[in-house]
Amino acid sequence: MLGYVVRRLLMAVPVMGVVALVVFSLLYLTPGDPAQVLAGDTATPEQIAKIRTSLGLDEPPVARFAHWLWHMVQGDLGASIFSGEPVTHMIGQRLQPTFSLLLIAVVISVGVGVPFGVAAAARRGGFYDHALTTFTTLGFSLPAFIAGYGLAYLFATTLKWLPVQGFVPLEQGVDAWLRNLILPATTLSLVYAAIIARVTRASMLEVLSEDYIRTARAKGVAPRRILFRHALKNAAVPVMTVIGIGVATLIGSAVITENVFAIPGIGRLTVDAILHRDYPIIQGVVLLLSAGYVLVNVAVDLCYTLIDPRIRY
Amino acid sequence: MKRRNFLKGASLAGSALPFIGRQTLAATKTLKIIHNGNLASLDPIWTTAPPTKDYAFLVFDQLLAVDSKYVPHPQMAEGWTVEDDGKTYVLGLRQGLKFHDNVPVRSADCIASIQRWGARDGFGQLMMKFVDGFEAIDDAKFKIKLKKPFPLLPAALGKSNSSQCFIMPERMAKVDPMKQVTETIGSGPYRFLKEEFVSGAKAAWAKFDGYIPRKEPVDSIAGGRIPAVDRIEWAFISDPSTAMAALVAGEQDYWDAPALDLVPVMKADPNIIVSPRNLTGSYYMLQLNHVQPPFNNPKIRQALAMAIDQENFLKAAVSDPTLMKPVYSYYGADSPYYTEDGADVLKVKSLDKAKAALKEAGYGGEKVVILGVMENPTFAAMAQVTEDLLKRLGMNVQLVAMDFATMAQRRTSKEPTDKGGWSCFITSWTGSDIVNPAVHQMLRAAGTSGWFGWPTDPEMESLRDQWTNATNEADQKKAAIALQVEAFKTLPYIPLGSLIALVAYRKNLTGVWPCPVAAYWNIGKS
Amino acid sequence: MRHAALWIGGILIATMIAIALLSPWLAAADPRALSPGSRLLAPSATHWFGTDQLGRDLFARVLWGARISLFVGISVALLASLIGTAVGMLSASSRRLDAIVMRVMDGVMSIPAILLAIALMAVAGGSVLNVIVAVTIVEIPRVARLIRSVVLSLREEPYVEAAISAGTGRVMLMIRHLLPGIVPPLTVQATFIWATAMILEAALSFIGAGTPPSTPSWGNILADARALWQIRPTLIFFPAGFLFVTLLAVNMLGDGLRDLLDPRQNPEG
Repeated sequence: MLGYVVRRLLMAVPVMGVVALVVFSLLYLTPGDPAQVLAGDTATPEQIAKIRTSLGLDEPPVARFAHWLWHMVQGDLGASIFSGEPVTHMIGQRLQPTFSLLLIAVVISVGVGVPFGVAAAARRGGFYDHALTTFTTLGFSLPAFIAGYGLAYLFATTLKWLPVQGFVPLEQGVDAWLRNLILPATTLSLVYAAIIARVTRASMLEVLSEDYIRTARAKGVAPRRILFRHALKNAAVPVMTVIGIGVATLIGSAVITENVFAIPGIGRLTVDAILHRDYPIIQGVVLLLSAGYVLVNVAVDLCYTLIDPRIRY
Repeated sequence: MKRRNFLKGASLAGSALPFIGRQTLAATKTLKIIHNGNLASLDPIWTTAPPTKDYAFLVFDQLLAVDSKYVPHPQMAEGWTVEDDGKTYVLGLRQGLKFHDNVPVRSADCIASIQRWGARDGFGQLMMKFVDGFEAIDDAKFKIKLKKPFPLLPAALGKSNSSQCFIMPERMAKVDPMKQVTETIGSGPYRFLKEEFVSGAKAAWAKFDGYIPRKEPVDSIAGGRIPAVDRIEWAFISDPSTAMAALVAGEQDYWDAPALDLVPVMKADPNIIVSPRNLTGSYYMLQLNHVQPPFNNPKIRQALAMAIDQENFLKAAVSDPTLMKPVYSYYGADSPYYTEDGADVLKVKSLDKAKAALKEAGYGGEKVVILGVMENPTFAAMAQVTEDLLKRLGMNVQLVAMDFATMAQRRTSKEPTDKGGWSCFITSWTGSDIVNPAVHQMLRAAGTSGWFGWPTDPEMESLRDQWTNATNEADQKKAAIALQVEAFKTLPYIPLGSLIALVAYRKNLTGVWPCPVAAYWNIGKS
Repeated sequence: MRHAALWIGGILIATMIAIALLSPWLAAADPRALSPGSRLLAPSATHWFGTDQLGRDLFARVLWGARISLFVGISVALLASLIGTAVGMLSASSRRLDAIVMRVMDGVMSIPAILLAIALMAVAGGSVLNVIVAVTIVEIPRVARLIRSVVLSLREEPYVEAAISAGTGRVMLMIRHLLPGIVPPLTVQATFIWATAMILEAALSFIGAGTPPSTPSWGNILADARALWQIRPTLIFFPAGFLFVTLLAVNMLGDGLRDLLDPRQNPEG
C-alpha cells in the first residue's frame, strides 16, 4: 500500500516536469513585458532596461528556466514581479477561499448527484430517471458565468437572502463563511452534480443487473437496503473516479465563478497574473494546481480500497 | 439536500447578525471601499499604478500639497522661504510629526525621499536638473540649493498627479529607486495593516493615532488630512455588476470608479449618492505613431483630425450627455492655460473634407494598426470607433485586440506595422496630468527619446523651455499657449474629449470632498 | 420516442446552423456598423433585440454570433478528434512512445482547461483562429486517452488478434478492424467536445481573452453586457438564450448518438 502511494507519486514527477516545461515555454513565447507594465507611462527606455535587469528578465530563457527549477526544487517559487512578495505566501493567502469554494461545491454536488442518480436507477424510465436526464442536460448547457449571474440576481439582488459577493474567512464565523459560499458553490456544482448524477445512475444500473442483487431481491431484502447497502457500495468506484477527474473541471469553472462573485481565490490570482505577465506567480499556481490534481487522484485511488476490499495495491 | 443546506445557512446567518453588529459596527467605524484597480505594488515611487498612488496617499504624507487651483501649500512643512535670489529654498517641518513606528520625521528622511522621487518622476527629474545639493540645517529644517532659480519647485514637491513626492523614513528612501521598498512605514493619517493585505484582493488600514492633521480646511490635497474612521478596507471587485450590487446591498460603502452606464440605476436608489469627485475628469486621446507611415506624414495626421468628431467617441462610452465634454485643447479644462487657440482642425468634423485632405496628402493605402486594449471598456469602445472611422475614411485598417501588458510592450516598437509596429492607440490621462507643460508627458516633441509616438518638432520643445524658464505668469501663459498652437500643427496626439469621473457612495458617508486623486482621509461614516 | 433526444437535438442544431448560414439575409443590419448616437436602445421594430453599447444591432450580432460559436465548436470537435485519434493510435502502437505521449497528455490535462486556454491566448493574441487552436490543444488529450483505451481493448478482441496473427498489414488492420470500433465512441466524444468548445469560446471571450471585440460572438456580446445587463437585460437574455439552446441541442444530440451508437457506455441501451 505505502509502496503503491510512493510509486504513484513518483509517476507524477514526469507529469509535473511536463507541466513546468509547457508553462515555462508558454510564458517565454508570450508577448508583453512586465517591466513595461511596472515602469508605467512616464518611464524612459533606460529606466525600463534597468528594471528588466533588476528582475533578471534579460537572462537567456534556458538560464531562467534552470534558475527557477533549481529554486523550485528547494521549495522556493520566487517572488512576484509586481508586489515583491514570495509566491508561496501569495498562493497561501488564496488557498482558503478556493478550497472552501471547492469543498462546498463537492459537498453539494455529491449530496445532490448521488441520491439523484440512485433514485433514477432504482426505477429506470420512471419519474426520477426522466428528471435526471432533463436536469443534467440543462446543467451541462448552462455556462457558469450565466448561471452565476442568474443566481446572484435572484437570491442576492432581488430576494436579498444571501450576499452578492465576497468571501469571509472561516475564522470569522462558520455561518458568514457558509452564507458567502452558497451561491458561488451552487453555480460551480451545476455541471459537476450533473456528471456525478449520470455516472452514479449508469454504474448503479450496471450493478443492479448483477446476480447477487437478484439473489438478495429474491431473498426478500428490503429494496432500500439493496440500493444503499449493496448496490451503491459496489457502484462507488466509478463515482469516486469521476469525482477525482472532475476536480480539474471544477478548478477551471472556479476561475470564472471567483470573478463573478469577487472571491479572492487562486483563480483570480492567476488571471490577474496572466494579464500582468507576473511569471513567477503563473508558474507557481499552475504547478500547484497540477500537483493538487495528481494528489486528489491518488487519494481517490486509495479510497477505492476502503470502499471495495477486492481492490488491493 | 441542496435546499436543506441552503435554508440552514440562511437561518444560521440570521441568528448571528446581532452578534456581528455589536462587534464591528458599534466598536469600530470601518469605511469599506470598492476599488477597481489591483493593488499589486506598495512602492509609489517605483510604480505609477493608480491603486499604489491611492494606497500611498493614506500611508505617506507630503512636504507640500497643491490646492484645487494647483497652488502649493505647506503640508508636513511648517512653511518655506526663498533666499539667495531664488537659488535656495529653506523648508521647516511641523512639530511632532511621527512615522508609524513612532520615530520622529527628520530632515534626513525628507532629503532622501526627495532624492529617490527625483530619480523616477518626470517633474522630479526636471527639478533635479536645477538642484545643486541638499543640506540638513537641523532635524526639523533643511535647505535645497539650486544652480539657477526654479520657481516651480514648490509645485513639484506638492504635485498631485502621477508620481508624488511622498516622505518615507530614510532607510526606505535609500532603497535603489529601481527596486521596490518592502516596508510600509509612512507618516500619513492611516497605518497599513500588512498582515491583512492580500495582493489583488483586499487591503486594510487603521487610523494612526499619532497623526497631527493641519488645521486648515481640506482643499484638493492641501489642508487637514483627518483620519475620520477607525479602519479603511478595500475590496477589489472587477465585475461592475457585482460591484454595484454590493454597494446597493450595503455590503460596501464607496465605489471609486463606477461604470458610467450604471449611474442611472444608482441615482434611482435613495441610499446612494453619485457625484463627480475628480472635477478635472479623464481626458481621452488618440496617440499617433510619428515615425512610421502613414501617420509620419503631417498632412495625413491633419486629415485624420478633420474626420474626428469627439462626440462620437464620447457617446460610445456613455449615454448621459451631462457626463461628457468635448475638449478642443491640449490642456485640461481646469488648467490656467486652457484655450481653444489653434484648435480649428478639430472643429472641422467632416468626413468628406477629411477624405479630400487624405487624398491630397497622398495616402497610398499603407496599413493602419490600432492597438486596442480590451480590459478597459472605454478604451475598447473608442478603439472600435476609431476602426470604424478609419474604414469610412477609406484607410486600410486593422484593430489588434490585446491586453494592457501586450500593448505596453508593443507600443515601444518603432518598426513598420508589418514587423510588429503600430499606428495608433487610445490612452487617457487625468486633468492634473495635462495641466501644464511640465507634467504633460504627451505635449512633447523630442523625437525618438520621448513618449510612445515619438513626435519631432524642435519648435514645440523650445516653447516648452521658454515656459520652464519664464519668470512671471504672463510669460508662462504666452509660452504655454504658443506651445498648444504649434502642437495643433504637429498633432503629437489627437484630443478626443473628456468624461467626468464619478464616484458612488452610500448616503451615510460624510466629508466626501472634490479631489483629483482617490484620497480617503476626512471621509467619515454616520 | 426511442430516439427523441437525437431528433430534438438534431432538429434544433440544424435550425441553428441554418440561422448561422443565412444570417446575412435574416438580419438586415450590419453587425459591425457602429452608431454611438443610438446606443442601448430597447427592442423595437427597427432593432428587434435592441442595440448594444456602441449602437450596433443586437439581432444581427446574435445571429452572426451563431456563426462564430458553431464554427469554433465544430472546428475544434473535428480538429481535436483528428489529432487526438492520431496521438491515441500512436500511443497505443508502441509501449515506449506510450509512456512519453501519455505523460505529456496527463500534464496538459492536469492544467485546468480555462487557464491553459487563457495562457495560450495571451501567447497568440485574440483572433477566432487562435481561439480554435487554443481550445483544440486543450481538448486533444481527452480524445487521445479515449482512442488509446479503445484501441488497447480492441486489440484484446479475438478477431483482432486473429487478424494480427494472420499477418494483416498495419494500415489494413487499422481500416478494417480498428476504425469501426473507434468511430462510435469518437462521434459521441466529438459531440461533447463541440459543446465544451462553445462554452470555452464564450468563457474566454467573456473574460476578454478570446475573440476580438468587433467580431460578433456570443461570448463577446455577453462580455459587453456584463456591465450593462441591469439597465438593459435583453443584452444578456438574447445571447445567453441562443447559447443555452445551442448547447442544449448539441448535448441532446450527443446523448442521442450515445444511445444509438455506443450502448456500452450507457447500460440503458
